Amino acid sequence: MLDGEEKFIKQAVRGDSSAFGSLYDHYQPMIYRFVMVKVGTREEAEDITHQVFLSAWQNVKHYKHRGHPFSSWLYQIARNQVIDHYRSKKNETSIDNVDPEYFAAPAIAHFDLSMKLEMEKVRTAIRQLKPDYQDVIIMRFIEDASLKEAAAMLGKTEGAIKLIQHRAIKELKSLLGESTSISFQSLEVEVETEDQSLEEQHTDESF
Amino acid sequence: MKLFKTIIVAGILGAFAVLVSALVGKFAVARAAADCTLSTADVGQIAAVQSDSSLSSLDEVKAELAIRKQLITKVITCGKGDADALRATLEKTPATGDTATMKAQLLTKFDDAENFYDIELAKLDGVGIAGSQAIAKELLAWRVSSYIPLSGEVNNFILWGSNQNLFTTATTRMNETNRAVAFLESVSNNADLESALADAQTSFANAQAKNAEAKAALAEFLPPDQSLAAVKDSLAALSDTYQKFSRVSDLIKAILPQ
Amino acid sequence: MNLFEILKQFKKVEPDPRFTDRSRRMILAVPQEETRGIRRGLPAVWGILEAGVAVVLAGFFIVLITGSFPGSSYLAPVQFSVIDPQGLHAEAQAIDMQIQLANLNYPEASTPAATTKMSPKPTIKNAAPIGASSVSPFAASTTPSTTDTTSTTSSTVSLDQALEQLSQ
Repeated sequence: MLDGEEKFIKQAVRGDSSAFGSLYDHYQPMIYRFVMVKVGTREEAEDITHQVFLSAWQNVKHYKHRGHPFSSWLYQIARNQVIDHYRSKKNETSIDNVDPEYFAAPAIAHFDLSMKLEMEKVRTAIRQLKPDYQDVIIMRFIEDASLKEAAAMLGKTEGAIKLIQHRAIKELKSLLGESTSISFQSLEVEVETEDQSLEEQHTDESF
Repeated sequence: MKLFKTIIVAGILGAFAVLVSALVGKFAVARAAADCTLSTADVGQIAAVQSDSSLSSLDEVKAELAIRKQLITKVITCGKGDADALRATLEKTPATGDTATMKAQLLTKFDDAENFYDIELAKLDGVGIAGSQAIAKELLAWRVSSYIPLSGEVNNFILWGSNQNLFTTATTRMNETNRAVAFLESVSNNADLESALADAQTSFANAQAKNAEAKAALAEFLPPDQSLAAVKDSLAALSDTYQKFSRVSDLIKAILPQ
Repeated sequence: MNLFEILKQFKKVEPDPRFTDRSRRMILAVPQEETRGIRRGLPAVWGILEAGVAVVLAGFFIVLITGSFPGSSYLAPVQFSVIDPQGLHAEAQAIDMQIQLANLNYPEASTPAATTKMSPKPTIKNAAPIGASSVSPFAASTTPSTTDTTSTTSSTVSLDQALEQLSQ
C-alpha cells in the first residue's frame, strides 16, 4: 500500500489529478505485470493497462472505500478489461506461440536467454489456468503478497486463497511437469505445509 | 598532342562512366520498387521445385529451402519498407498537445514493428523448411494482430489530423454567422433566421462533439474500423453543418438591401 | 531451474518507461468532467455557449457603435462574409471531397481485425495514407493506396497471401 494512500484517494476522488498520479505511479507496474502475465503480447498489456487507469481516473469520483484496499478496485478493473479483451479477441494463435516481440521488450531485456525461455514457458502455463488461479499465483508468488494481503486484494477469504493456491500450484505442476528444466522443490514444501492446514480447513468457504 | 588526346579520351570515358552509373542507379531504383511486388510465379517456384523429378531429394530440399528463405526475406524487406513509408508520413503530420502524445506513441510502435521484423529475419538463418514455415506463420499472425491494426490506427490518425483545418475554418464561419445574425436581429426580428441559426449552431456543436469522439477513439486505440467510422461520422456531421450555414446565408441575402 | 525462482523473476518486469510516461500524461490530461467516450454520445455544449457569448458581444458592440439604429446605411461597417457564396461553397466542397477520399481510401471493413486464425486481412501494400502532404485548409489528399487482397491482379500476391502460402 502507498504511504498516505487514504489522503491521495480522497484528493483523487475530488478530482485532483496529481493525487491520482501518485496512485498511478505506485500501482501501474503491478497492474502491468498482472495483465502481462495474462495476455499475449507486450502491446496488449500496455493497451489494457492504459485502459485500466483511464477507466479508474474517469470513475474515481464514484469510488467509495468499502473495506477493500484501493488496489483491489484496480485489480477488479484489470480483470474485467482482460475478460473484455479475450471476448473481443478472435485470433487464437497467441496461446501456443512464443511471442518474439515479448523478448524484445525493454522490460525484460535484461534477462538472459535461458531465463527468458523459462519465463515464457511458465507464463504460457499460467495462462492456461482459470482466472482465479492465475490471480492467486500472481499475487502470492510474483507480487509476494501475504495471504491476508492477497485475500484483501482479490476480495476473498484467506481460506479461499489457500485452497485456490493449492489447486493452482498442482495444476501448474502438471502443465509444466514435462519440462525437465523446471523443478518444484521449494514450492512442494510450501504446498505440503498448505496441505496440512487445509486438511483441517473447511472447503465450503465461498469464493 | 598525345596529352590532349589522352585528356579527351579520359573525359569521354569519365562521362560514359557517370552516364552508366546514373542509368544503373535509375534501374536499381526501379528494380527496388519492382522488387516489392510478389507474383504468383514467385511463390509458384516452390511447387515447381517440388515437382521437378530431375532433382535428387537432397537437392530438392535445398532448392525449396533457398526459395522459401528468399521469399520470406523479401516479405520482411517489403514489410519494413511499408512501415518506413508510413512512419515517414506520420512524422510529417502536424500535431500539438495531446495529439502530439498520440503521435509519439504511434511512432514508437514502429520501433517495435521494425524490431519484430529484424528478430524474424535473424531467426531465418539457421532454420529448415519446417522452421521457415513457422516463421512465416508467426509473421502472418503478427501482421494480422499487430501491424495491420497499427497501420489502420496511423492512417486514421492522419485522416483525423487533416480534418482539423476544416473544423477550424468552420469555427470561423460559425463565429461570423453568429455575429451577422446577431446584428440583423438587433434590427428586426426574423423567426426564420433565428431558427436557421439555431439549427446551424446545433449542427456545428454536434459536428464538434463527433470530432472530439473521433479523437477520443484514436486516443483510446479502439479497433481501427471503429475509429475510422467515428472520423467519417464527424465529417458527415460537418457537411450537414454547411448545409445549415447555406440556409442562413440564403436568409441573410434575402433580408439585406440589394 | 526452480519454478518459485522463475516466478520471482516476473517481479522484476517493468513496463517500458516511455509507455508509462505517455500513458500517465494522456490519462491525467483528461478532465474528469469528460466522462463521455465513444459509446456515450452526449453532445458538447461548449459550442453553443460560445455562440451565445458571441451574440451578446455583437449586440454590445452594435449598441456601442451605432447607438440607435436609423437605417440601412449603418449596415456597411459590418462584414457579411457569411453570405459570400463562393467561399461557403468552396468550404463545403472541401469537406465533401475529404469525405469522398476517406470513403475511397478506407472502404468499410468487410472483415474485422482478426477473424480466423490465419486469414490475412485486406493488405495495405503501400501504406501511404490520406492527407499525407496536406498543407492547405482543404486537406487535399494525394496518393492513397490501400490495396485489398481481393483487388490484387491475378499475377500479384500480397505480402499476407505470400506468407499464408509460405506457412503451409
